[in-house]
Amino acid sequence: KALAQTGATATGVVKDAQGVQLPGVSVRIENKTTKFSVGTSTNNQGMFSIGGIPAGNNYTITFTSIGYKPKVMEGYTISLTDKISIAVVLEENAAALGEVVVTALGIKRNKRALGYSMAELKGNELTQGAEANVANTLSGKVSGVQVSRAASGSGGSSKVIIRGNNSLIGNSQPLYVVDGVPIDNQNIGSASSTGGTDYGDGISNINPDDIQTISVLKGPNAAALYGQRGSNGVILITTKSGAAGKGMNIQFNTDFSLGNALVSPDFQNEYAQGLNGNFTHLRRADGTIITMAQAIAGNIQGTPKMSAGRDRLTRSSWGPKMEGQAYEDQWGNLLSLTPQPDTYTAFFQTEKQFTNNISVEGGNEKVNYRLSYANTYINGYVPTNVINRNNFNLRTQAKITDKFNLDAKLNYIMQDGTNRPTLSDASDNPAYLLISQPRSIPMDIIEQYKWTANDVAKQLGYTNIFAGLEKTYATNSSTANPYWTIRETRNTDRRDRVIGLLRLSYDFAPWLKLTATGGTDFYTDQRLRYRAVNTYQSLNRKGDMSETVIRVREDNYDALLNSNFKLENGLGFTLNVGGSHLSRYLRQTGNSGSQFIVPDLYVINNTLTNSYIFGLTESEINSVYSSGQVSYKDYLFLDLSARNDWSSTLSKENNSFFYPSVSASFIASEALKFKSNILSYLKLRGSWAQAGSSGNPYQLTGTYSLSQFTHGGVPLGSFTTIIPDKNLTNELTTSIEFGADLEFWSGRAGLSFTAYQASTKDQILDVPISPSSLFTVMRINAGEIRNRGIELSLNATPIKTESGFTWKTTFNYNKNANKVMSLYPGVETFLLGSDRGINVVAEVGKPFGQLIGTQFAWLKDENGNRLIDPNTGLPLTTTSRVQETIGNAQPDWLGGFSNSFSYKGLTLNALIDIRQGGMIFSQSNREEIIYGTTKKTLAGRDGSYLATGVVAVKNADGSWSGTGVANTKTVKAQDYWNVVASDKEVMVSEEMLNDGSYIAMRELSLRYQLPARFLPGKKIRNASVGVYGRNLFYFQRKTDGFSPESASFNTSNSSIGIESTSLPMLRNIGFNLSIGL
Amino acid sequence: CTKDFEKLNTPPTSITTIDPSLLFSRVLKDGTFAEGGELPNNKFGSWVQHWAGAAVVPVSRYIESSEDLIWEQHYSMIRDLRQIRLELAGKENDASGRTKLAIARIYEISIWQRLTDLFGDIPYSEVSKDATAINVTPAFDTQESIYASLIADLDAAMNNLNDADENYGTADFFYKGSTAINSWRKYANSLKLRLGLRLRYANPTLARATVESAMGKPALLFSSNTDNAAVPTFSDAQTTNANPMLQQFLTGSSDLRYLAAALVTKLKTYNDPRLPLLAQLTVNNVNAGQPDYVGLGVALTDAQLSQVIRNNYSTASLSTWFSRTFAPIPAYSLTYAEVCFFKAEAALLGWGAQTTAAEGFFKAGVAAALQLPPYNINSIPPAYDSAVLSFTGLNDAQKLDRIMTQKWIHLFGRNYEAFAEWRRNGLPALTPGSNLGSTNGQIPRRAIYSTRESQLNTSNYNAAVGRLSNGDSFLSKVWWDKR
Repeated sequence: KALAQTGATATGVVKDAQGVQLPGVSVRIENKTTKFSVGTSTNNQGMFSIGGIPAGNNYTITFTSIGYKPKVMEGYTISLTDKISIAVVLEENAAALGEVVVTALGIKRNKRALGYSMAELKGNELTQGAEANVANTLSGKVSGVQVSRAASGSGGSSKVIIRGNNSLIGNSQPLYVVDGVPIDNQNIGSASSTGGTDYGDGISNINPDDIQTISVLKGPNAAALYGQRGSNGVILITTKSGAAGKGMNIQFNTDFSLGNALVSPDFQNEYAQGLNGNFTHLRRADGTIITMAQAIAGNIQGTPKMSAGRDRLTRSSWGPKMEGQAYEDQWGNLLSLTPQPDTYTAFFQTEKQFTNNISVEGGNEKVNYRLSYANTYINGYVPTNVINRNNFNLRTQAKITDKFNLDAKLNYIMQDGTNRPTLSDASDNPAYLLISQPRSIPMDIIEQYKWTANDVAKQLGYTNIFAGLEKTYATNSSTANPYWTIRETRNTDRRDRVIGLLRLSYDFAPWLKLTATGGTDFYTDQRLRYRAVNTYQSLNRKGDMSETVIRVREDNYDALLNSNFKLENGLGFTLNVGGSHLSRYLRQTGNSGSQFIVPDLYVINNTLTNSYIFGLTESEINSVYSSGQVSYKDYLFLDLSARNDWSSTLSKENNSFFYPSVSASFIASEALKFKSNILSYLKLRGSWAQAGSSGNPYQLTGTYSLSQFTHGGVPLGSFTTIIPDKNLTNELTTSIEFGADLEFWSGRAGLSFTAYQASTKDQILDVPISPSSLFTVMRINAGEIRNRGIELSLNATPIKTESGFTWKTTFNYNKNANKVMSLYPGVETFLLGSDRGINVVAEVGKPFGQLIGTQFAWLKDENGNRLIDPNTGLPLTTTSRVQETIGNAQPDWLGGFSNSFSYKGLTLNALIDIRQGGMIFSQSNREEIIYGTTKKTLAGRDGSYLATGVVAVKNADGSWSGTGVANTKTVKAQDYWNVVASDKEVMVSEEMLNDGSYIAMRELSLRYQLPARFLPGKKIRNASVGVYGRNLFYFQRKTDGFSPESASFNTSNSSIGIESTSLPMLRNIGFNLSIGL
Repeated sequence: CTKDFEKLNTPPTSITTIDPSLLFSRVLKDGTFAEGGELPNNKFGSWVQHWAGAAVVPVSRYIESSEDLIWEQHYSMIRDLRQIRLELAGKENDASGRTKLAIARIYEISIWQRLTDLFGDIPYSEVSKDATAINVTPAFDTQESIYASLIADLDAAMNNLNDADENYGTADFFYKGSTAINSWRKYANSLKLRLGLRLRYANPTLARATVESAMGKPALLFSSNTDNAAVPTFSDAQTTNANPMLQQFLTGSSDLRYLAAALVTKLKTYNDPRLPLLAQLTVNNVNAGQPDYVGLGVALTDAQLSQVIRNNYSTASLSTWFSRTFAPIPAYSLTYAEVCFFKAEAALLGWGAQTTAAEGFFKAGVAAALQLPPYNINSIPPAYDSAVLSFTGLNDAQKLDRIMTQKWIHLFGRNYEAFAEWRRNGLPALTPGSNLGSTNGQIPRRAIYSTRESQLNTSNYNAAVGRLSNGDSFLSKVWWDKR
């Protein structure tokens, strides 16, 4: 105490240029005259405090940290009563890769000390393109990361896969951790191959403007300390917090963008509804309707008449050429037959997205705060689809005492969605309808979406219709009128979500700290959908509705004791010991009902028959873990970690499992004192890690369940279709990686290289078994999936002039070879998903995501030429369905090429996103062929279509052989395409295959930071304006009528490699303005 | 801190042991309802030309496709029936279990017969006993051996029925009340008659012995419509509670509601009193002031289908089968009328009855068939009797044709049985539709095995396919199909 009274105290905070608090910065206060010298280092909040400083002149305070230029502040005069507070900004040392990054458990570490590869993106790199879903911003920016979005329009979910798929039944997506606490990223009730709506995933709720940095920890090497959910990698998000010592700052950002289809189906605009180049029916002068065949045979005159139906024989566009001739449509409208090229643009609309964000931050050395509010309002591409998201975020960090720190955050998200579109093979997916709609139907006719008495009297092809009913162009149970869908049916959803954290830390000593964190993420989703009375395909045409409430909660508690100390001989030690508890909960309750009793009243008691919706899952994991590091002289680092989990989803005997990791890095340039200016930095690193995983709740016991409905009051029960295994154990992912980081010419160019292998064994699988076993699947530990790959990242600053012009360029590359090593004895394939003629499987010895056509195949000769029937001129197919591997959905390699040009306040960024390889089976292509709606069906409609192939001869046994002679017999295009696809389950599978390769101009942005001299007075601190384009165009694309990176209807394994009448991905052009006060 | 894990990991919406009655109810309902509805009607029902089918069900146009769902659905019914054995284990010789087990076994035999009739050889004897002893790759047994086993097992099960034992009570949709156990005895013996006659051309010796054994206990054959095995239906409840035919109307495709020309023409030719209650007048005939019933051709070619104006054809009746307001029509599993037709056929052969008894049995069958809802016709119109029912002056082949034709009409909506009986006797004679499909224009003779079975039980599947004359195709015939 006596000492304290005799000395002054210097406190302060150290940050980097982006405002990130820097931990572990060495701070030393010295007086050369008195030889006084005391040092400390900053804590995790970047704060330091040095007391007991004797009075004196000419004190020097020095701040040093690896990766930053040292900062020396000289000439301080200190008197005994002083309490000096200093805010320091350290500049990055461009010559070093030594930036500080956030690693597992929120521990900030110097990147050079890491024995594994990780990538970090700064806030401004993320918001250039104003993506509403943070996950999308990773696309093309980080090697080894594949981002694909559900083809679900605005507010939809995205899939992030790091270093390949590794799980057969779970998803392979990474864990998202925000400010050290995991958040929920479920996509509850996503679309399936038969319809459904994407309500968005958990990550899409996060406000991109709140993000300071994103770190991508690839694979379990980096993530061992996050436990089992980290086995797919971890995406660590650090949000912004207030800055100390700058007074109050207000930042306002506004953004507006417009979106339109980047790729839409390549519609033909020459031939009308009909068959064989003609109309199907004719209305005679007396009003009776006959078939066109009868009319031709009897030379009967009249008005050609369209008919409705449900298959290609009536509703397809194989009809007459559109030349303005008079005809009567299926509803009795007398029209002239003209092309309708704008069906898509007439129905869909330009998407408008408004984002406004305001934040207020400030603080002093004791306490800081940041309060932000963001509103994202999207008026969607599908009319009446609106997403409105409000984010309120309050973050405060306080130094309660010198040793006791508090960090608290409360994030409240309020999101409303209206009329999110239905996806895939469903009547109320507008894209599904428009893709097969006859090319001659004007949209203004479709827009009259209710039957009138006049229509009913004049229609052809419908049954049981009446005035007021939804009017559809065909009679399928799966056709709807898109205008009816957007105006008379409704689905709304509301999410109220709170993400909160409270973290307390206590510094027992400069080298010993205890941190305790409690984090919660809970939300309630309220979903309502209804279809009005008279909806064509609702039960009894009386409409229906459902209303559900879903409550999700995830709580994480952890405590971590952290110590570190350095010895004089250059050895340093860090030891962390901690424990955590995770609990997850999901409860869904609701009702669905059909057949409204009175119209326009959308409550469940207005339905004739109704039923409940109920679901509940709960699980918990307890863990203890430890990690430690030994370092020697800032160039040799060895990391060790160990974790044990106890999971509620496994039996008492098997619920405890352990997994360790070890990694090392060696900075050769430092150790060997490289003098070369060419190779200025060289780091070698390697690691080995495991991560366990314990599967889903309720998988151990076989159970009976009751049918939802009794039969006349008699309850009905049945046994599970899954053979359970009470002895299930955890899955285990083992990964190993080696790499090197190099820098040249003092950081003007850099190269980072990593080779990795990860294999996941003993997966908890539901292995399909023969139905005659009486069960569907057997749940076992089996299988191994291996991912091997290389990642390469190159960066350079080719130009940097004295005048301030800088060109930075980055290229990243990832080649991942995925292989299913084994499944289960006797099981060679595992079905991941299946949709109308295509199965997606994991097959032993092959990469994940083999596409298996389950329909017909071409007959080919030994040279791969198709065999052509000499009598018909048509290619020959197998007479029965065959299972044929037609491709694989995995890309060969992924890449990203980014360039940034800056001159004074002007910055131009360009990001090119590359994927090569990986096939996509297109259900849209099938529809387009069956119904003759796209340009590829145009050639040869007059009978001049020449099917490529060789003439075949029939052998004595009925089989066919090729003659080697090229086919010359022409056919009608309709007959040819009818062989390719005549119905959803009758097609030649390989013809629907698309190469998913692309080179896309993902982002292009231009930003101008106004120079201070243009800003009025001191009121405006900073101002910038920008324009940007997102998903602008493709340098290369091979798909037919859809975007390869946004093809699947959901983000699960079941839709890998399947496109199903997807909503188009949008090209966005936007403008933003940012002002700081 | 892991002490609550077990409780936490207990499934919240299901249980690990159950009253077997709940399983039995479900199987009776599912097993009975499976015979009708949109897809069976437009597959097997269109092959036997009750229904017209359409392009959206390629099978109706003789285009091959495997019957995955039917295969899986029937094996899962077997699973639930076998779980009853597990739940009643240890009570095999006890009043609380013995008879329940026997009843479950008797119904299981009905399911096995349906499955083998449709596919031929199927996994049977090596199929898992219950969830504690699972065989994931059971061998396929020959239909011949399956039939022998089913007949023997049926006798054994009948012997285990004890009137004093516990039964399934109200959970038993077929037979509840004090006489339930005897009703099951009658069901079993009537089923035996069906099993026996199915073998008529394949193994006449066993067929005759089985039929004579069943005929030898006339008191244990169905003797009126009150003996019928039927599951009640409910038109005002959930769709799943409605008669499968009504479900087809409520949730199915409008293209798949049309009747086949063969059925409508036959009923019109017969001036059958059921016609106006079964079929709907065509829209266009009504509009033109000339009300009429017209059936649509089956297995039409593309060219034919594209010209079809559906309002020219008859659907099933919108005021009976396709009506929510009509009194709910039970779903039948085995009827007195069928038993009468089997008895008539047996009598023609002199198996367990005099040939002279055939006509009486036949007419009793027709009378019983007319009585059933939705027809509710309580007596045979005299003109109908003399014109289409009388055996006078007919030879045995003609008599059999009359029996089989009436059975064919009676089995409308009971597609598996209708298809099996048509294949067995080849009666009534049907002309295939003009689409060539995968069969070169012939009516298929069996269903194709499940794809999952072929992939997951491959060597046993291959062995079974090797025994088929035309491979796993529509044209191979099952063992008893000799006509």
